[in-house]
Amino acid sequence: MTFVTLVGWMAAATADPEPVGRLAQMLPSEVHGWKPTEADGLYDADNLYDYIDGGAEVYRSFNVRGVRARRYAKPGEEDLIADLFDMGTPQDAFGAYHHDMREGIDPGVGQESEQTEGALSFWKGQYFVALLALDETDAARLALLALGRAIADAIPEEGAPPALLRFLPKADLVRSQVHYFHDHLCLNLHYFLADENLLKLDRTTEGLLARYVWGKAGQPKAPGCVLVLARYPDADHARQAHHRFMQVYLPDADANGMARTEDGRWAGARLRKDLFIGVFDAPSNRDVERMFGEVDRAAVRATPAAPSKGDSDHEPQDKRRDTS
Amino acid sequence: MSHKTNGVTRRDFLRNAAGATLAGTAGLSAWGQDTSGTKAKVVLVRDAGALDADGAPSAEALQRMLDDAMMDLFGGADPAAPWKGLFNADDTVGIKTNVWRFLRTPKALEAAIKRRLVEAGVPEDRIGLDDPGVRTNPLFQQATALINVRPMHTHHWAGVGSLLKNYITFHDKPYTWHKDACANLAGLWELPSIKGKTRLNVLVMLSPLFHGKGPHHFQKKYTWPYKGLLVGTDPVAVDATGLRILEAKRLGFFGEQQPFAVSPHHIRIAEEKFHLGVANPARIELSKLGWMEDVLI
Repeated sequence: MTFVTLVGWMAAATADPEPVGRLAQMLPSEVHGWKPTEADGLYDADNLYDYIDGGAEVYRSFNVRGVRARRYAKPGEEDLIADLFDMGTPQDAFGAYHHDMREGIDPGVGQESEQTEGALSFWKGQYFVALLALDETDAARLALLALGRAIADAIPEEGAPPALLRFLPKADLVRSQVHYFHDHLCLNLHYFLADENLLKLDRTTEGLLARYVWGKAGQPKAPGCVLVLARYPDADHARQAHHRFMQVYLPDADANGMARTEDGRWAGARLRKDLFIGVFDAPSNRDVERMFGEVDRAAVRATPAAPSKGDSDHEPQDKRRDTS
Repeated sequence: MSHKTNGVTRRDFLRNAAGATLAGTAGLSAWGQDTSGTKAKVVLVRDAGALDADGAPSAEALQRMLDDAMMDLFGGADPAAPWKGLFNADDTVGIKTNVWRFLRTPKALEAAIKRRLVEAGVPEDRIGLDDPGVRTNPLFQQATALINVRPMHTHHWAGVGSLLKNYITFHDKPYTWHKDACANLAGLWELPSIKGKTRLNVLVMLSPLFHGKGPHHFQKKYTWPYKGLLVGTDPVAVDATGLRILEAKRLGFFGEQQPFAVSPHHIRIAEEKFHLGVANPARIELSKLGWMEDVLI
């Protein structure tokens, strides 16, 4: 064991052996000549602000349990930074990963990944991993890929993404812009609805925000709409949220729950048992109705086998892990 | 019948001119060419030699850029004169810098500012330089004047890290300003430790970050060597000008008007709600000095 590795291990053991201590075992002690240069940074939900400033609130909203941050250095090269987030559940690891738009290439690391010139991010199981190169050399890019693969290999099991994904209509979906959330704060970051928590979102709820573009094949895509799904612990909670939303946001809604908003577009909301369905920025009321119908059909397909967490559409049954 | 809510909704924004902010832009263009009302001057100075091949700032170039900007902003041919007009031996000056690890205010620029302050007669031991510690730093507690200097970059919560945002560490609960993309950041400037004290604003545009991703909201790929400084007395006008440069860069990079992930409407709101300065580009006199290649605005 090198001195550096020992220091990192001691820091983990002293500060909080679980869960961040476990994360140490997932980080290699060397990759393509890059080696750790200092003790790992260890953070939990309470002190994550010390490390990533404003961004900490995002990961706190996804119930982050612990973070281990390791800086790797190599003579003649800029440093690499590896951040391992233990999010507690695969669903929240998915949420942390999809907080950002994911329009880059997927190099096949973990369950979903994205590599850009100076960064590699992925999620696997309950872990979200963000790797950053402070320069964009070929050597750094290859090292990031090797580092990512080593970490992914060290994560023993995959996990299921949110079951709510099965309620999303797939046609015209902008796959790089699907965002999972629990609370009002995160929803508002992606799509500002209101200062007030109209949808009564909290840690017991889960939601998806997805963007759609419509257009015929071969023609430029036009903006389509924004779909917001929110699932509540029970139908009563959903009904209360829907009621407040309609009171404040769509008081002028017609009998179908739709209204033309001040920008000339259409918004509408429906309730389906414990599920709130909101459609925003649609070109017409027919488009809103169509989205309602598509969500309904997806929900019917999803409901018979839908577990409360974890999406069986996305991973084979034998790959899912029980996170309860 | 509609029910009241404490705060605003998206539809409230759409109802007002600020709707443009929610469409994904800063809404700065929504004013059109209305030039009535208060005006502000901003100086953009650029130098091809401001960064070396590795991206390290040149102390010599930064001093020259700062001096040129100050002389253009306040007049005169002597670099020391503007500083003597703004500060004196009785002042205690806090230089509010920014030490974000990925894109900090260059130390060479901090040194250049400090040098000119000392030349203007401010005792060196009454010049504070701080970022996270401003609330407990005695020099900031006693400050009669502030200088606000930071790099511009896109930001998790505020859309952009701006001069307006740079004062958030003066508040004991910074997170309370995060609501609606930090819309009310200009309210910070009402804090007793800040109000009426800022005499100079310098927005560092040497290698701005025009797009951010990931936990740190930083990838070098989304920076570029613009090699500029924006200088002015109106923080809103300087921020609005910096924002226009980022928007222009994003347009070129993405090939289309790509909305900021988080709307930087706090700059516009600083004018509309707080009347702190001028965000409307039509009422900002922009003076451009030095290197003009790919100036973008």
